[in-house]
Amino acid sequence: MSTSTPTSILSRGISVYSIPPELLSNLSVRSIQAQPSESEPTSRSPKAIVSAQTNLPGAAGLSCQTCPNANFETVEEQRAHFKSDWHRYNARAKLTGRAVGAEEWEGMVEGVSSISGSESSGSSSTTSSSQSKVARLLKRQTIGNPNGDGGSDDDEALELADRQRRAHLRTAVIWFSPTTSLPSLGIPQDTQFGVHRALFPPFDTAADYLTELKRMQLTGNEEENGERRLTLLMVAGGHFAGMVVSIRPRGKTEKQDVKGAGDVRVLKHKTFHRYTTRKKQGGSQAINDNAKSKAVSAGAMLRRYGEAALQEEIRSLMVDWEEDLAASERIFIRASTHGKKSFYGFDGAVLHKNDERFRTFPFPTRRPTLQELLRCWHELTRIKVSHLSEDALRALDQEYIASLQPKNKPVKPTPTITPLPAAPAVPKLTPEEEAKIDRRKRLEDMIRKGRLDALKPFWTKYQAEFNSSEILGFVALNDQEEILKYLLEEEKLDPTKPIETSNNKRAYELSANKNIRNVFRRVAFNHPEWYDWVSDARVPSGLSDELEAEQNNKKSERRKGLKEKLKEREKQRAVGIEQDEKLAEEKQKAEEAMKVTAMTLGGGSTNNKGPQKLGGKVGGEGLGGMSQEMRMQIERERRARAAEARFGRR
Amino acid sequence: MAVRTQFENSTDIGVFSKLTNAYCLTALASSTNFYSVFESELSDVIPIVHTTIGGTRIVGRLTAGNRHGLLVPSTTTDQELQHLRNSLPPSVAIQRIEERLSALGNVIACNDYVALVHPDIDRETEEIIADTLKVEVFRQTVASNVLVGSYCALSNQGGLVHPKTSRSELDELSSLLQVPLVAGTVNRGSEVIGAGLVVNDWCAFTGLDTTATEISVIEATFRLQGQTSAAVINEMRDSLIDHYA
Amino acid sequence: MVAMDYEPDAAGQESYILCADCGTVISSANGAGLCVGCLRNTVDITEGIPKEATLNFCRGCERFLSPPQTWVTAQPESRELLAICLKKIARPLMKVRLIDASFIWTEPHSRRIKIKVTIQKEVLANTVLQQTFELLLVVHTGQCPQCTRLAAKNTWKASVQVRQKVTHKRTFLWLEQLILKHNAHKDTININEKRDGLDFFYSERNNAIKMVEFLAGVVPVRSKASEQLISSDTHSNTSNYKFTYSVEIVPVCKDDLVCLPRNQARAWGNISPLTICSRVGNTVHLLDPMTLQQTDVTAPVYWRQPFDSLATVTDLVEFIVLDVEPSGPVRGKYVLADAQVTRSSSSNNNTDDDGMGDDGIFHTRTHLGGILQPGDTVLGYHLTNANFNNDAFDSFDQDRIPDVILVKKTYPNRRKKSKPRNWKLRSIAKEAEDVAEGGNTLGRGALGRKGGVDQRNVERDYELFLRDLEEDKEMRAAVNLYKANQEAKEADDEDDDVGMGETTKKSGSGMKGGKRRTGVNGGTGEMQVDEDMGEGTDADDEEEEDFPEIDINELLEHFEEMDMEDATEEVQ
Repeated sequence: MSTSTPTSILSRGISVYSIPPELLSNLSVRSIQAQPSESEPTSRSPKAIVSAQTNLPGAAGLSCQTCPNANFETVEEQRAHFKSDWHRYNARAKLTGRAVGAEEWEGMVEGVSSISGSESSGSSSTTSSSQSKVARLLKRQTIGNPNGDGGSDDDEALELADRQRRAHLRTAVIWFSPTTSLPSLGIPQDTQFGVHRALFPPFDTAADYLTELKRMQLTGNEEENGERRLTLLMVAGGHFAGMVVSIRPRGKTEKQDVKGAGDVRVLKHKTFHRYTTRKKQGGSQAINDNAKSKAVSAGAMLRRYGEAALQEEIRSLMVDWEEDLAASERIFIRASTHGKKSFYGFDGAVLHKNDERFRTFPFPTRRPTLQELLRCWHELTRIKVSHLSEDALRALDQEYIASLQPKNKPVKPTPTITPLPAAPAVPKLTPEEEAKIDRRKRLEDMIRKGRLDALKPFWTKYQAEFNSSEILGFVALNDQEEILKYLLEEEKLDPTKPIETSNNKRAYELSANKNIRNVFRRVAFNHPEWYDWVSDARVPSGLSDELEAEQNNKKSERRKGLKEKLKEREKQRAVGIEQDEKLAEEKQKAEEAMKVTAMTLGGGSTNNKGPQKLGGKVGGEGLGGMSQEMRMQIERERRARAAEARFGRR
Repeated sequence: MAVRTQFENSTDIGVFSKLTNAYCLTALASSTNFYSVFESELSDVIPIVHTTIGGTRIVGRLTAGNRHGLLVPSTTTDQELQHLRNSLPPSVAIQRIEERLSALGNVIACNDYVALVHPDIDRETEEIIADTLKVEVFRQTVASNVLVGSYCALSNQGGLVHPKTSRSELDELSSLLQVPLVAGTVNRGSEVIGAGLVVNDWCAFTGLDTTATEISVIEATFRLQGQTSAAVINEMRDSLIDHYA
Repeated sequence: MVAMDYEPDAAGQESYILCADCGTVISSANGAGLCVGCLRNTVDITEGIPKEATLNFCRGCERFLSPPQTWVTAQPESRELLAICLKKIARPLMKVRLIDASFIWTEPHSRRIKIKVTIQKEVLANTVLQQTFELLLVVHTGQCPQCTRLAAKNTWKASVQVRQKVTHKRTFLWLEQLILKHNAHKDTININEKRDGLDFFYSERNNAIKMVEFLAGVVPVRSKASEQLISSDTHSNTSNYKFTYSVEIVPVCKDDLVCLPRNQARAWGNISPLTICSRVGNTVHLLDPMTLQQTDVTAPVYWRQPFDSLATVTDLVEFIVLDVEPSGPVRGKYVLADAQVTRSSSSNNNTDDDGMGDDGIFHTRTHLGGILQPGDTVLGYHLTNANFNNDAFDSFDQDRIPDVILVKKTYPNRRKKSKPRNWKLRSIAKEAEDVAEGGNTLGRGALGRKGGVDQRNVERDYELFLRDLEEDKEMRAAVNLYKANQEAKEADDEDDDVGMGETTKKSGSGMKGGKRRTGVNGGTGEMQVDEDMGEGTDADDEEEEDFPEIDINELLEHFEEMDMEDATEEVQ
């Protein structure tokens, strides 16, 4: 019984400079067009045709007017379709009379992107995942029409090619994916690792990035070779913040003089502020002076002085930091064109304008403060992890390509890849993820209903997928003594591990009632040697049968004389249950969100672009007394009834 | 309850006013007749704001909004923005949008939950719409017209769309919007629904030319008859949905 | 609650809306948002199209007026009539699309014509409405201008009286051709021959003035206007006049011998008073054959001090050139030469010989040195034995008067061959009138139709006029010559040496009533001329080599057709 948490490596957050060597050796660059486009499995076409034939008659119900031959089983599918890129593309293309069919769309998307490591993932994929892949392809075929007609024009193709070219290795983040799955590191299928391209010199081929990434790793003998440094400088709105950071993390024992820096080894840092920005109007005084005539107000004078002083201060600081700057591998600068004059382009400047180490921050930054610099540092040097299936990636690639401007504008950063909420109907989920979610649901159902017989074989098969402590907590929460007993005694799930989703509580602490607690205590009593029950599992004491009997006796005695108390207790219990249910709900959501970690850039707050509940608040006020599920159910029913009535009567 | 009115001899009142569940904007007119009509219907319930947008009176076509927020184009001046801010309830978020398609009322059609937008609007604008109006945003066309705001009027109860919207498109849109939709006209046969009609969940104003038939369609579509009992709603829904379906 | 019974359609592509007015379910493909009935009620596309109109009908010729001016024969319920009817509403019809039009039968004597018209028009946006309406046309009877003219025969308002006080008609023959060529007789409603001239009648004063101006442009004239009050209305201050323009043409003709008064001759470049008139355009050209000096006399100058001709063409006698010797001076086509001539009929007229000349040989100086060869026949004035009653001539120094003044070359032998001319001339003569006036088929053109006055002279003048045309290229250029009838010509060619009478008969039969015997040989006219000229040259059969043949290229085609047209035009 392995109780180790397989995703642990990802949960920590890996630095770009200290990637585990076994992972590093298995990485390959996954970028748009980094590898030749992979052809779809040949088995697809015949099946697709069959599925199209079988599905067409039933597909008359829901459709999309814009996309040719788009049919849907459910309203949710249809709504999801309206958010899809295919539909968006067609909504515009239709105006010029060139809506494309699903097949053609696929062709367009595939012509653009392919996902590296697909062969390897195919080879290592389990039977179940390959099955689900086929199912997914089939499902997609029901949406699409194999006879999609209407060829894309030549110029369109040209434009696409142009976009492909520009998309090639120009994304803000270079993505790597493991060529083989690494169970030892707990990296699941379909995991991608992202490193900001700004950390690399500009390369043209994918292989260069990989070599460079390997070269960048810390060897451990930096102290002899001198500290490797990065410099981050920001100036905006009269604020300046600068920091020289060592790539090597701070040792446990070393002094940390920057608050909240954690294990970041900050070598030098400095912030200052001058009054330069025109309040309520924005813009610097210099810009205003250049744009209009020179303002003569007292404020303008102050600001002009502030600007000059700030520039002077920064310049002198640069001179002070000359050594560090010279030693820095990269210098990240955030400044306006005007502000850049503070760093270079003056007499005695340490830096030169065409320094190859200069980088801008490839993500939005906030007001220059030390904390912001630290945040940027983390954003830059932490490896981004995403779990997206090939299809999802392809869709994203396509979206990115589509988002590129047709003209030769400067390359935009990759659009924020949205976290995909684990709603069952969202098609962007990979089949694996879907299967996982499905299995999790089934497990939870089993636990909730106390179906130990069904659970046993299921658990033996899929236990690797689940976080044991979480499951344990869930069982405890749902008042399932038998299952808990089974899990603790037979499967030996570790009750000592903290459950992250519920404030690092232990499973025992989540127990729904005394009976559950008693189960823990009984096990603790029976197997005191397994864990450190008291300190780690937080089970106060074991419970022998004698003790239990004793307690029961006491209880029955008390019960006789204290009816009121009993009532009171029951009331409390009821409240407790409701709270527990809520907790469980939250936990479930959080877990699902965890499964599909978002690839976010810039660390900014992520926009939840998933389908939000539509009209969620209509009539919601009147349902306050009901449980959340019931409420949702009723609401859903209510909202959907109108549409159902309409579509159903066809 | 649908009220007929006109703005200085123009029946395109949707051009000069914007009505949502939380507020109402009307253009500055030479007389207060227009304003008075709104006031008599709405004054107890929601604020009615006299305003210009970017110095023009076509407030209805330049703005888009719902109960949660109001979007104004980049031409809106700071003073106008301040005036709106002062006049609207604090729960209404006001957002100025830098968008090439600056007639937001023409390119955005929304109720409190869903918005249909012009297929060409910026991605950023789309996000702002979703955030400010707290709506789900769909890029759509109505009867092959990209100006979705001009050719439909939506409330949380229903929607009236361009008369040439085909039935399958109606179905599609209503499954998007989750409200029953009806193809219809205003102002005696005008297909520019958005210009002839402003509507919220309990009240509608239409151009003076609107005929009794059109009024009755509007009232049925937006459930404005004032019969609120469940029986009536059911009956209405049955007849509407059954027959429109 | 409105009843909304929507029938679900299979395609789902159509949509239904309620008519904005009446609430019936209609397809929204109709862009107006209204049902057809309501749309009809709203818009009337026949608005602005008159439903009644009048039609003008001439009872005399049973023709309908097709606006603006044409009168068209049209059967009832015919296409032509439909076209005329629709023309009445043509302007409002421009704004709509005409789909169909048909007659609704009406009693002819009801004087009403009904037409069912179907039109289409786009109303509102993308909505085409079709509508049918009836057009009622009331037939108003009246007279067309042609019939009016027929009905009132002599309703002339203005007349032009052209006179030339000479004994011959050649000027008028010439004038007729000019008028024809310039179509100046277009508005003339009638032409009458009067003594010494012609009367032209017009329905409008303007036309008469135009004619007068035309005449003043081609011949030297003097004109005088007069008017006669017919009626007047004191209330409207309008009055009705008849205008008469009297035009007198200078009585000096081509080839006339003129003797100018001495002072006048002095004033005009000190020209010798004894001159011949070489040409008459809108001025009179005088030429002194002894010195080749020339002078032009314009009409106003002439009428200030009019002079008469001393001798006219009829006084010319034939001479034979014995010898000609150019003496040097050349002016244009004129070459001064000394010539010896003798009268060609001297044998017959020996008695005339005053014994002065030996053998009747005269020495003279002539301007025809360029064209005369010894042996040629030439016409000239024989002044030796002439007796003129003229003051200017009397006061002229008798010693300076030459015996002979040669005027023009002639071709008597050639004429005798009676070869038919391959050209002819048109005429503005009126057939109907002439026939009605008593079967006199002789006469030339507008002249001599009355037969009585000087028919014989007319024939003679016409032949002379034709000869003039043949011999004078300049003159020919001013008129239109037409090719003669081919058949007639061929026949003439075959009968080349057949006698004259037969030829006359034949050619006469090819012509309309003999009145248009314009082209072919002059028949009696020629005989008369020849008789006049004397028969002394009969034995001399040799041909003059330089006989002026008219190039076929100068001739115009289709004389007959034009003639016909001309005839119809003139039948008014």
